[in-house]
Amino acid sequence: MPPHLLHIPGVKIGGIAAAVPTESVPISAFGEEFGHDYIAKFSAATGIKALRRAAPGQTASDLSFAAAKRLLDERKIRRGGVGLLIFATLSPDYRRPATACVLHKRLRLSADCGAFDLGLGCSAYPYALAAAASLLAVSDAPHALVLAGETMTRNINRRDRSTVMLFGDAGSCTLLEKEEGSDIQALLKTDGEGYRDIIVPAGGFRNPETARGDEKCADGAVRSLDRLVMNGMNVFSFSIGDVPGAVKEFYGATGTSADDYDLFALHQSNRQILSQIAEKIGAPAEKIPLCLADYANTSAASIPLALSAALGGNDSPDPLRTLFCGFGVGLSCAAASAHLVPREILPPAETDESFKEGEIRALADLEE
Amino acid sequence: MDQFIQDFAELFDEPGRFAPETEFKNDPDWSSLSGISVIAMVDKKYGVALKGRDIQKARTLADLYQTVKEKQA
Repeated sequence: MPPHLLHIPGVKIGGIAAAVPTESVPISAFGEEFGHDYIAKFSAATGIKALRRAAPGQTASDLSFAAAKRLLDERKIRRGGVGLLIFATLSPDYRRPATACVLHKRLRLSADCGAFDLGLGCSAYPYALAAAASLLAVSDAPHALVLAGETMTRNINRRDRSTVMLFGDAGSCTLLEKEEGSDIQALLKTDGEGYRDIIVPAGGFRNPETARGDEKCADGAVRSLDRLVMNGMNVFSFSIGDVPGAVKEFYGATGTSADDYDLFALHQSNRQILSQIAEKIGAPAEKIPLCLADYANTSAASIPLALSAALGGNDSPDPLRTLFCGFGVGLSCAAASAHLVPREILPPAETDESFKEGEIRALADLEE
Repeated sequence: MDQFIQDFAELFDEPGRFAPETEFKNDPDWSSLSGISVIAMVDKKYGVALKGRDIQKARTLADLYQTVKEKQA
């Protein structure tokens, strides 16, 4: 059976913005704890030299809000024309409501606007693009927003040497617009067998108890049930096997090849994985934006952040045919294609601001 | 088999110590990063995708080579 390709007519990407917190932590700062040899090997394999860490109290929605506000203001988007907001994250502000509703309020969007969260991680960006573009295509609204953000530094155990240097914090916003003749295509894939390969086992409703403490694992790393636990070997195998396989399926289903794309916007997992994927899908290195060295892996935000860092400030009005590919926790993977106009992409902004009203520390804070 | 041992050994700083009967996961230099290098090497040179459990199941290098051959078949 041919792959289940999504054809989404009449929608284009009209702008991208990203935001990061100001604190940059150099990888060398972990040398004391994990050994300088380990750090050197890690950095050589992953290409990561530093990561951004959110300020106390700052969340993924704060970072994404900053990106969204700037993009909407700069592009002078009428708030009433935004018919949909999707927030892609696994780091919500609360257990409920959906953080998209908080962002809806903060961005002063109209009541005539759908808002919901999309719970995926490193694959979330192309998934959210596909979901938002599909809904926009059948909606009367002119605009939709995809916000994608993560505070991965809060999801990892700070003593876990296998993950603590891999991830950083960032937020983003992508504007989708109606445009006759512009199409977005997407392919969504899942390997549910790998649900345990990247997991925070405790704190959900299957296992609400989080107080179990740190354990030393067979590989010498320290982990805990309430923080990210990753089977690095399975994730690597998925990333260099299934992921390029999915891109090749996408080529087949869309009748395209690597030569048809000007840009390959790949999830910034780590350099070793990216170079293997690039080789298999025929993507030349100069067409792959990279931002691992400065920002590490920012999960759902990594693709828009990489585009913002690489193309922000570029005044070119010429559209670039772009292939997107996100992959990770799920295990989940998506490929998509769309056009990007460099001058519609803003460079990354820095912010430590957070939503003070949202800090509900006592029930009295909820009384009007 | 000899070629496989050599390809495996090249992933380490001092490659002289590996043989078919080596219980590679007990090697002092073995870490989850080495597992990833092995998967990358096998993917590149043998065209086969090893999973984490393939490496977990293999005790010796001979076991691992056997798995690679089975996957190639």
